[in-house]
Amino acid sequence: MARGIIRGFIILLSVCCIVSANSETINNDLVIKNVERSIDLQSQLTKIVNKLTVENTGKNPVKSLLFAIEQKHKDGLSYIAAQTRDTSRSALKISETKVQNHPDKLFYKIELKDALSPGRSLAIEVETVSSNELVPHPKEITQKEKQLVRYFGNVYFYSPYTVAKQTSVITLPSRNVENYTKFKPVVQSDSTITYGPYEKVAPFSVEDLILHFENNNKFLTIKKLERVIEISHWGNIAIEETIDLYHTGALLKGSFSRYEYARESKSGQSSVQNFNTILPAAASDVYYRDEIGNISTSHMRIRKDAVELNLRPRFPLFGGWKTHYVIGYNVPSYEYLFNSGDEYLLRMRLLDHVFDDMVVEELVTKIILPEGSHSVKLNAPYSVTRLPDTLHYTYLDTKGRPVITITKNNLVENHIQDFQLRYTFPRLLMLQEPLLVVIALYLLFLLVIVYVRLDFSINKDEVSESKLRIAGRCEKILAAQDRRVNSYNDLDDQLSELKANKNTNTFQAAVKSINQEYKTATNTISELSLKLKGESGDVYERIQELQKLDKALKELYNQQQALYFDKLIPGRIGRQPFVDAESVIIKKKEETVEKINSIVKSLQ
Amino acid sequence: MGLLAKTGGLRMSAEKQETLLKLSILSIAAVLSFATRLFSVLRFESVIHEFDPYFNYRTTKFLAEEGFYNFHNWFDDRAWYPLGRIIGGTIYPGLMVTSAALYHLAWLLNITIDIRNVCVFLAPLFSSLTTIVTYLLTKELKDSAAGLVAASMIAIVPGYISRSVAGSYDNEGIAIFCMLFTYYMWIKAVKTGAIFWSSLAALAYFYMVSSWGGYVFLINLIPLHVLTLMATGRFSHRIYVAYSTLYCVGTVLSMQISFVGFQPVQSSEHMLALGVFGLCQIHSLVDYLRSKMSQNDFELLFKALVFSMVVISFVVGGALTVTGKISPWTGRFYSLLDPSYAKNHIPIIASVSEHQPTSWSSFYFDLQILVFLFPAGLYFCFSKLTDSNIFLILYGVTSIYFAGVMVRLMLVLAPVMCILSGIGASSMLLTYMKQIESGKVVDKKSKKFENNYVLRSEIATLFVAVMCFLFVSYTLHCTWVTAEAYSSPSIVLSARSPDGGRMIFDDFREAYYWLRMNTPEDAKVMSWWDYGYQITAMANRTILVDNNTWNNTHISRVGQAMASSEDKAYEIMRELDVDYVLVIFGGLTGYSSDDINKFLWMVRIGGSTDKGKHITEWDYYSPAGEFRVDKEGSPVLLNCLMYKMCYYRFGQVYTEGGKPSGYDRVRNMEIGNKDFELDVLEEAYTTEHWLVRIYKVKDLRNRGI
Amino acid sequence: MIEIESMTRYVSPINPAVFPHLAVVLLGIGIFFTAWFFVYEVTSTKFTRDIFKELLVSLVAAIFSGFGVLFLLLWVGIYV
Repeated sequence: MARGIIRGFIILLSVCCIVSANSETINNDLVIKNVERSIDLQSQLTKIVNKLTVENTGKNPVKSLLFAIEQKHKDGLSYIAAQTRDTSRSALKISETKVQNHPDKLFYKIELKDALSPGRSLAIEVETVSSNELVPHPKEITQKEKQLVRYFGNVYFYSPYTVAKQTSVITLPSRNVENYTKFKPVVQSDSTITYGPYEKVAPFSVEDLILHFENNNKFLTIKKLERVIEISHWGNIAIEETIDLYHTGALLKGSFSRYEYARESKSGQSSVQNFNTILPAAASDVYYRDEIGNISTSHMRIRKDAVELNLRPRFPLFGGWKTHYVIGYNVPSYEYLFNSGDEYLLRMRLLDHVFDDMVVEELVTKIILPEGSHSVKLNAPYSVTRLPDTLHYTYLDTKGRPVITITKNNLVENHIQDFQLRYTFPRLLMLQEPLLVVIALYLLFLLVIVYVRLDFSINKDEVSESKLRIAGRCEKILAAQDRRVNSYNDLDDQLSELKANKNTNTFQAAVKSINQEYKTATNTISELSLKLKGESGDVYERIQELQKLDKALKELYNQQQALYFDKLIPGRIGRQPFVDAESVIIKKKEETVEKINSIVKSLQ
Repeated sequence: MGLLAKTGGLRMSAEKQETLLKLSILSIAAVLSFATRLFSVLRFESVIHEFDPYFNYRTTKFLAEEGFYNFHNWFDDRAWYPLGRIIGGTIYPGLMVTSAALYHLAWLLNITIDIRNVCVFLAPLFSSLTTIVTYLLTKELKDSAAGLVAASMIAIVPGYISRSVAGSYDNEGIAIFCMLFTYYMWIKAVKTGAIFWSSLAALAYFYMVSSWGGYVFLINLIPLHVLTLMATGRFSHRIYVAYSTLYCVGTVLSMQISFVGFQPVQSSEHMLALGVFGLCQIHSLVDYLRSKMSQNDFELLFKALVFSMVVISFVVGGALTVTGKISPWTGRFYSLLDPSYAKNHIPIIASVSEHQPTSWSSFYFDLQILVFLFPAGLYFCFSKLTDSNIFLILYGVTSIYFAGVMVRLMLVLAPVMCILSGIGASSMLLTYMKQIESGKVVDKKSKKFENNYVLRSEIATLFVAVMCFLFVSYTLHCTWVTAEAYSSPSIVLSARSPDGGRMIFDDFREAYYWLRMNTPEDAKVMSWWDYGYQITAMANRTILVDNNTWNNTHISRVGQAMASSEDKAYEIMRELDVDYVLVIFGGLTGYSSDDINKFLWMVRIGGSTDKGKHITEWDYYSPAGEFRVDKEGSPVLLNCLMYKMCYYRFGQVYTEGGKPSGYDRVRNMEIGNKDFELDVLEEAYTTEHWLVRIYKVKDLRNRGI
Repeated sequence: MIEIESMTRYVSPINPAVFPHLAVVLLGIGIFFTAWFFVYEVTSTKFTRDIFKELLVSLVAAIFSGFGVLFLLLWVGIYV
């Protein structure tokens, strides 16, 4: 019983330990049968691919294994991934962990898909990419000299387990090798150096490897990359990247001679004149500029699956020189944005390509969502730091657009992976922007309407005031007169129709409404003219005249109508007398109309 | 059958038609004046042009970021090393305040526009406003028809466009608007005699003072107007009220600008205004007394008064000039009165191309038909003299004189040319258009009045057609001039490449950006003063001299360094604490305004002070008296610092086929001193086309080596 | 949570290819009404002014110009 309690206590304690320190132990049952390590030093990066064959010599199945990194390589490591080496090549989960008794080293735990049963072996592949491990030596070179770098490594594969057999192949950019550690067996052929095979190497063995060789490739580091993704629901995603670029190779010593640089191909081999940036295939409206304006030296090539941009900084970059620029472009929303109702999902690259074998020291990605989006959920492809959300104000914003900010240090090309961002955006909010403009304009118009009504004058100018009032009345009278003219025109039409069809019923029905209209118009005029009487006798007189003439005109129309009704339709009149009678009326009408027109003209 | 006439409906009344026409012509003219200034933005990019605008841009940026008080107290240690410059007290802040205000307003409304774009588009924006103000002013002076013609003309007049294209961010861009606005207010004030309008005129004058040194023209023109009105017996209470208010309020306000300070009451340039103000008071006093006194008493008093006034003013004026209270007549002012003054006395003033006298061809180039319409306009003004017309005549005549003296004052002439031409063209068209119309109607009624003119309507038609042709040619000319002559930023150069394509030389920015990125933050750069503003604005580095040529001896010291031999120059450069030296060299590309072509000015300015007495222009000429860089050139020239910096390693370059190496494509000669090394300098950077070369000054040699 | 497979690709409610046309047409109508409004304001006197007509014309002008301005912004590349 007591033993049981103690055992339980010990288990509890060890569980506590595991939970608190999250530390692992090295399983000595595992043995690495074979390691084929290839180290690629052709660029500024150290790319190592370790092909391991692991065997379980113990009695229990093993779920996971450890991968160790030396202390001196800890800081440079930027990317690590593991996968099986069978045909499926499926990725394995890998995570940082701590191991008891080895606090100074960096360990990764690789979790296997299926437990490795005793006696079986498994082939896996671990890839690491490190930056800043190639150190220029000498530190300063002149324009003519070539760039030499040193690499400090380990002849052995650094392993927490015993390694039965191992070989390392190092690939260099050229055959010019100044010096390398001659730890036998070692073979140099052309631009590769092969170390090994070595057998039975104890865990954590280190044998220093120093390589000193020529490397004129681009030693460019992006000190800070700020990537801003702005989403518009009007069908566009705008991307802008602000880049601080340093040449981290050997520093330039002495003067820069343009003459030699332009003339001699050997001059300035380690300098960077241009590089290619690959943008998405749908990218359009690309711009490339800095604080003082456009940089006119760039070429764009459109390929099937990408847009290739050949960027030339304003000046060639020598060791220790730096530059700063901004590049931006638009992509259509359907490439990266998905939706279902008001739910949206953005799937985009957290980091995009700037140049081959790039190193990014600090990445800040900002995603600007449309105004009014909420319930944001981020799903990053690897561990990142999310900074507090902020607001961004730009065109036609009221309460600001939410900005999601993500940051991460030390990235390489392998980090070009998609993130997913979910958010909710009510679609109706899209109308907010145009309505804002409409309201602003309407307020402007209202201001005008109010402004013209303002009157600050202290003493009223009676004369011009009454003039304006009369002019206003006249305008109304003329409008009524227009209506009267319309009714006359209608009447004319009806009369001519009557003359042709001789259909009295339809005519009478039509004339009724016409006369009604005429009457109201005439009444309006007489009412208005009464008001005018006190203000301007002259105008009043003229309107009386107009009314009189109009009455005469109306009478003529009545006569014409009577002529048609009483004489023409019953057929009581001969052709010639009818024509005579009609022409008399029409002539009188014309005279009256001319008089009316002259009065109307005077009133305008 | 005669139809009854309708009044309303779709047909508009004459009044409405007129309003619509006015509105649309005016708004189209305003839009056009904005749009025609965008050539450079479309051809190149939205970038600040030339030299001075870069300084204005830099200060505007500072103002927008740091606020007005910091700006006002800004001591700039980036320029005039080691002296520095008090920016707040040595500039006209109107331009910067205007754009910073616009910038803040835009940001308040969440219009996130870049301050650079505000600066680039400010001048076109103000040109639009100028168009509208010109309409208002001309309408006040004549009528709205003339106003419309004048507005359309000023929208595209090259003389004004030359200083207000997009990117030409200079004081003049807004000053012309301010000036015309002040004139408009002044005319209003003269016409009404209301304190309201004259106070507004004073405010407009204050804005003008805050934005351009050319306000001196304005503050002399308005008193001149008043003086002329007095002389012609047109002085009245209206003018008394208008001028007294304007002068008092305007002067007090203008003294608030720290760069102006007490000048309005001290310097001789402002004395006319003060004198006329006094005369105004005396004139009204005399008028008052005359109305109260008998004729004989009055005459006696008047004579005594005049005599004592003249004596007092001479004594006081003389005393103040002797004690130095009234500042001596400055050089720029003398050169206005006497074109040859500056050339003979102040080499810095003479070295600026825009201070040269105007040639006749440039009058035609900048104004075209306005040159011919201007007298017509003057005639119409004289034919109906009013108080305000007299102002216009004075403005026209004085500004045409000043424009003849200095090229840059063409800018002041252009608006009045447009106004007078607008009046002329509109009056003539008014006459003849009537005759075209009347030709038809008159036939029936009364031929007997018309028979003195044969083919009356035909001649009128012909005249109108000619006018139309002139207007069309004016439009074409203006557009052509704007596109070809005035729309290059001069910071980016373009040339035709042999295969017909367009080549861009972006070397200036290449060099400035290199300085900005790859030199220490506190590096001191020595260059000729032309490039000072650009270096501080684009490279953000400390410079020795810049385009604000306030300290002649300092510039002269730089000139001496450039003109001396390497050893002597090294002493001067150590003394001035120089880290980098920048020269402009066009020999490879054929860019003619490079430092070798400006070199004689450096020699002259360098030799104009005591320290540079040993430098004489004649040492740099060949025995035949020519300025040559080839073998026949003077040895002093071939070994001076400027020569060496420009031609370092150039002797090995082949520039043109069939020519020897080291062939200078600007001077068209093979350079005389090819093979030399630099002892105290090392090449730090040379741009792609060799336009800009930057040298680093080496440290002192270690002892004993 | 909805999976990405069940979501559709998001396209703008209005095809970006017609932004220029929309901008021109809407702004054209907007300017017409604006001109009408201003001419009316300038030429009418306080005895002939009709508040309803003013409000109506200006409302139409504001709506057309407002949407026109929005599409103009989208056309020139300011994706609001």
